Amino acid sequence: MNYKIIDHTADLAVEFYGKTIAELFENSAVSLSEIIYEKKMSVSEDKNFKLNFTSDNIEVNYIDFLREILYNINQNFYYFYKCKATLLSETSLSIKCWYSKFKKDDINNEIKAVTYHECEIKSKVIYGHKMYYAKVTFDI
Amino acid sequence: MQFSGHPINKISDAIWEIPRSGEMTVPARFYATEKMLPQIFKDNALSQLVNVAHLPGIQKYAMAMPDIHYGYGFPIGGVAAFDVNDGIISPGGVGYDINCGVRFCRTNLSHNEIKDLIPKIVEGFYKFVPSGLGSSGAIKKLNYPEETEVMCRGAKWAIEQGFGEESDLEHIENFGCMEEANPDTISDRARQRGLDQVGTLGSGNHFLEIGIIDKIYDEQLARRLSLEKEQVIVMVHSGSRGFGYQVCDDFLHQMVRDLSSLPYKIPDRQLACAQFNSELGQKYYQAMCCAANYAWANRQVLMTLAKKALIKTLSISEEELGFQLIYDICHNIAKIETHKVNGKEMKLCVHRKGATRAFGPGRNEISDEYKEIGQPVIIPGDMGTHSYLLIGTDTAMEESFGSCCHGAGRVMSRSKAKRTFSFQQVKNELQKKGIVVYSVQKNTLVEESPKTYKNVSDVVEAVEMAGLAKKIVRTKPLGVLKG
Repeated sequence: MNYKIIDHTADLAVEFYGKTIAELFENSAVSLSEIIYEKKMSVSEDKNFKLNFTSDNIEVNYIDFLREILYNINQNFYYFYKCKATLLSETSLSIKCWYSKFKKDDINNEIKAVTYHECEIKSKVIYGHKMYYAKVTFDI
Repeated sequence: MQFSGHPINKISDAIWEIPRSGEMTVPARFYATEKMLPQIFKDNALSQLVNVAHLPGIQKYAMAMPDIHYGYGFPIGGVAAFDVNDGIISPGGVGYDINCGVRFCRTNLSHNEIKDLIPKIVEGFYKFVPSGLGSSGAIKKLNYPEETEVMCRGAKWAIEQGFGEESDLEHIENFGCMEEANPDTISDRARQRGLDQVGTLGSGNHFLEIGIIDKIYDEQLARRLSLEKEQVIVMVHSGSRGFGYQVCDDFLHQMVRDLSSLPYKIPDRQLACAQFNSELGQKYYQAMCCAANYAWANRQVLMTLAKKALIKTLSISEEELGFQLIYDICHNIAKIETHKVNGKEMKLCVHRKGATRAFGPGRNEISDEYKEIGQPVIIPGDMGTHSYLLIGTDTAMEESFGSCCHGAGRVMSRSKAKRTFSFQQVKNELQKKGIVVYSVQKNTLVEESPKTYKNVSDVVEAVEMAGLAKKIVRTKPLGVLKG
């Protein structure tokens, strides 16, 4: 399980998971694509780009990464099917994102924005495995 | 009574207060009747209100209207006013859909003339008005100079392109334009997103509705606004589309990155802010004004498309239709206004997030036509029940910085709605009530099911009990186009 949708009165809250912080970043981008397109899309392209983030805080880097992913989904209709994150330090990381381009009509759920609201990256044990997770609130 | 360790004091039958404690700058106040309290306590919206009360420069109270519900950063239904000299401005206190708002229009038609034509009318709306997720193409794609004109001139730009009448401006909050707009503050991303979305409804809770006036509360004011029972009305709800979302996102990002340099602590990153008078604070305000103007241009075009759809569908002349804008109000905005605080006039930056302005009689911001009576206030309900037109009051000026609620307020999450209702079920229930609905996205209809909202009549009752606005008429939906 890479993500779980949490009830939120007005908007959308999602908990994303990964075995490592790097995997949490990777899973979050792919999961966000699946939520917006409402399914796993079959991809035929192998295009990619690289993103770099540095700030005092891992959560800020995480939200800024999701902002970039969401912008590219909403504006360019990219579907992200794979990411590879490399943590360069506690406050800096680099992520390569693979995507395929679709059409506006393929999108089924509109997410307007990623918020910073109460976002924290934490770890917990799920089914005997230590997992990192982050709860993110999206404006819809 | 307590909420999350905070005592709650009853001030009157419709006003409740959480006293100042800890690092709170001011107390928090919310408007609700006693029967609404259990619902309000169900989510964490009051904790968000308490967070707002911590912000520097906030005056009197952090306030929430009776449609309060859980949002992010600010609660939805939140009102907060900050001293422009030592207070802040917060993109999260305005929201992503800058100047999301609603307009209310009258026609010369009566219920009898259209009652058998509702499906045809809603189909006409669908053909004329681009709606749904990422909708585009109402007018030709703008170029950058044209988009600059939209950002600077708002509704006036749309009127000059043939969408509406000059006199419409008198019936729009701020006359459809915030003069402080500065296009130099707008990112290329925001510009790109805005090029082809003027005149589009979008998705979520946005709608285009045809309905009738089914109850009159104040005959004199109704007559003054040329409104009568059984009269057909049209409402439009939309905002600044991707352009506004991007403006908010761009500045929130900058302010979050600047948080550590501020001399105070913010309880939630989504409340990231800048001093109103700082360079960043001013840049955001000017950019927000661009987005507000974009939204007014958008609703001006949408309204005209709806009018054209009615003329074409009903094969009637413009004179026979008698389409006229009554008022257009903002839901998500920060405005510079003068209000009395402790008996002294103060220049304030008033944030309304999921709340509307409800100015009473005599304010200079209101057009001459309405100055004597106060500003019309539109409170749309869900698509299965009523909506209300009210008028602002002197009490609102004294109590709530001239503010009022913006709608019914959600009570059920979208994900729970999708688990609970089906598309057909929602459509059938509306049909049973005689309401024709067309939704571009099936998900939107289910997420916006009437059962996901508070009873709008309870919300309006609380507002009236508190004296923030006074009911004029109630409307009933007949046909709705959802995004």
